[in-house]
Amino acid sequence: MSETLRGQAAIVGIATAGVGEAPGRTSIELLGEAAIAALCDAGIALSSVDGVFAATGVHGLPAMSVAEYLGLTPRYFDGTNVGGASFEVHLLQAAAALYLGLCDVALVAYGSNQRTAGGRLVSLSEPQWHETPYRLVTQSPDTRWPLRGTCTNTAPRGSISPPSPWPPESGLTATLTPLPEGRFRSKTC
Amino acid sequence: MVDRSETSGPEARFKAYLAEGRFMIQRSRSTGRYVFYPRIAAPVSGETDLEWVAASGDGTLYSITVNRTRDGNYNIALVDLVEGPRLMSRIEGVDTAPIGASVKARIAALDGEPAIVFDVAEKATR
Repeated sequence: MSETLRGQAAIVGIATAGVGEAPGRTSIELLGEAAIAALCDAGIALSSVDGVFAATGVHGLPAMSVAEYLGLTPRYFDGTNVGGASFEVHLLQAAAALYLGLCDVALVAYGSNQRTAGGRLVSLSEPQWHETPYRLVTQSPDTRWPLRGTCTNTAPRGSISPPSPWPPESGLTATLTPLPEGRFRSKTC
Repeated sequence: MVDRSETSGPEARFKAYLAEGRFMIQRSRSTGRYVFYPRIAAPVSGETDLEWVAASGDGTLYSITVNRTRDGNYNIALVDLVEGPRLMSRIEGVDTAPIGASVKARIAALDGEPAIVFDVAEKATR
């Protein structure tokens, strides 16, 4: 039973975006860039994605945010956030979902601009930045997305120097499909 | 000044254009489809060949509601641009307006930041 999932799914595309510093780009933009690049790597169209797995430091509803940003209507999703191990968890969830036929193409995605956004975790409140100026009654006026263009120290308070930034500033995405996946062999880009 | 550096993302570019007094939206070179809000790829279809083009500013009122507060009333509207995308905004100068009214975009300062607002177009008020 413990090996039911072994060999049942494969990572068929993987990509990063903006690793290092990415001033002027938001977390969801980095995530989106990595997602598109991973799909490109796999030769799979964005519209084929029907499983979304995501967790970030800035999205309270990460699977929803990714689906909204990329225009996806996933059949299955998971936004479990267990910190930096979220994506290993998502690999398991995705493999299980693929095995059970809950989805056919799983997108596991992450994005962070924490390094250039000021080196601190920002609010999990996530109003749509282009709608905030119109003062929806459900949002307070001080919950705008931080978007800054300068790099600042990313050391967590009390950490030793030199620190490595966490979460890493990047979009990181893997695309999984069930095996066999012959129908996805052809590269489209 | 618009930051056109390679590192600048769609959101930052849109805001920079707006600060210059320009209402710019994205359009896919291959499909001609317009995209708003600004993104790194067209939603659903995923094209990344998005270029910035000036929006006409012409739109139709799709939906509107009025928020009534102690500090005064203001409306929140959804406007369909003639280019296709639907966006949230505000119809200025009126409490509310009829669904389907023709509206015209301009850039105003909301809470000190430039934002797209709309006025009811002349032809709709006759």
